Amino acid sequence: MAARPTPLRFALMVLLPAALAACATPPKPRELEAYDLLRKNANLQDASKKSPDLVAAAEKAADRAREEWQSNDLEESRRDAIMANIKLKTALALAEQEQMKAKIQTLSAEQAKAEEEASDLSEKLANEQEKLTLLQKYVEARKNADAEKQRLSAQMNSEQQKAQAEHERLALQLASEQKIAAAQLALRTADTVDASKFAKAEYSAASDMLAKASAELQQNDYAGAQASAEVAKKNADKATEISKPLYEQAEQASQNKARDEALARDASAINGADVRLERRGDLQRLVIAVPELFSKRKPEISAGHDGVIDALAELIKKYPTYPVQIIGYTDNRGKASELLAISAARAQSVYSALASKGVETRRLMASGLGGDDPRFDNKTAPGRAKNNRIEIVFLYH
Amino acid sequence: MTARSRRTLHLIVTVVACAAFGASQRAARAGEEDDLQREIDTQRVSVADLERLDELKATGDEITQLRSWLDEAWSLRSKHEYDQVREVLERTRKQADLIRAKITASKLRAQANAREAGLADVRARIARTQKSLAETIRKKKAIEGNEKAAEKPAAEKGAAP
Repeated sequence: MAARPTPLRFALMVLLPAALAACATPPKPRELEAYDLLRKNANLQDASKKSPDLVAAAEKAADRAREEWQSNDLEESRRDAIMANIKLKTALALAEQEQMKAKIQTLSAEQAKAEEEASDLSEKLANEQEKLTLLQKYVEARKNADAEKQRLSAQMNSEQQKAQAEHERLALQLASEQKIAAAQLALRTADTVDASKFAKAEYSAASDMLAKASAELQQNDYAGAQASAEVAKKNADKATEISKPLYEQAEQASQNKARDEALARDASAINGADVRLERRGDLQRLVIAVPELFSKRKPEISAGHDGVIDALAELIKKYPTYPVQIIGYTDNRGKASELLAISAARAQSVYSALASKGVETRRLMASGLGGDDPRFDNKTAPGRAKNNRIEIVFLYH
Repeated sequence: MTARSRRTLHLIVTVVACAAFGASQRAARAGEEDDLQREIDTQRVSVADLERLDELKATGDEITQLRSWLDEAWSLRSKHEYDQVREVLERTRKQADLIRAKITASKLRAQANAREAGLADVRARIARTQKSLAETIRKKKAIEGNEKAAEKPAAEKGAAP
């Protein structure tokens, strides 16, 4: 059975721990702990350098607080710890100010340097961009120029081709026109020989082909025009070829006829002459009968007939291409041989008279036919007188 | 003068002296109280100034603490604990110094941060500019290369008979 504690023992059991507890160190004030924590701040060294008095005062206050804590004077300890905290915090804040100032200074310097670098770079960039822009503009301009050059080249080629085509067309047109002109000339040439009359088929064909060629030329069918013109020319040439001899022949005949007619007119103008045209076979003759040129049975030309001789001589000389016969005739009274001789002598007399007047003798032929071929009635005196005649015969071709 | 008179006079003088002393003590105490109140008021006004000064709100706790201590000082003043009031006011003055230092530090920090940000901006700009520059040079060289390549055949073509 346990012994019941006495009041003294009870008092000892209760009061002794309390007394011990009262004598033990009290818990560290929160403010002092905060100060100790603050002392671990990395900037404490800087703060000591910057504000040594302040830090020393803080330390002093903290020391005092510790002592007061150790002396169990907690309230005083707390107050001093608060003051120590305030001072140390102030010192740290001042140190931070310094750091920040230094940092700002450094940053300002760096920023200035960076700004300078940025400015340099911006300037360089602007230069490079300007170069790039110029280069791009140059490239663009070159591309545009190349494109323009190509366009112009293409345009020039096109123009050249057009010009070439036009040139060829004009050449064809010119060739066609030349051929048509040649055909027209050939047709005109054919006209000069009356081809429309002497080579009607060829001439018509040539005219038709020429009209066709002109129409084809109007329609710019140059090949067709040239071909038609060539055919037209051939036909015209052929017509000319055919017509030319015929035309010349006709022309010659016409000229001869005109000359013959002129000769007849001129011959009719001679006083006392009787003019007539005769045809003997193929030969055409203009006969100028001159009666009473001689006295009865005389072969010499009676005086007073020079005018007739002169007129005859002039006529013969005027028409120099005609061969001329001088034929003497008599009436039928007398012997035929005598009459023949007289007539021949008379023809010869006229021959000589004409020769003396300058007529070329090689054109003249003199002959006598006596009483042959009387033109008038020999039974009457006037008829016989007229049959005693000289006939100047122009022989036509 | 009799002894009794002297005692009476002595007593009167003593009483008067005591009364004078007491009156002077009261007057001195009243002047100190006014001084302390004035200082408390002054510090309270300066707290408002500090709050306005603390644009970055870096000392909110410290200002709260300061106000609390000023209230404590006021309370102690009301209890006529003038020594403690003076101690508290000394603490509040130091706290105000701390607040000013921290405000200045915070402003400087903000300024440094701004500078840092500005520097970072400039560096970023430099980086961008360098990139643009490199890109521009690359484009320029590419175009120049293409141009040379294009000019060479043209020159050969031009030289060809």
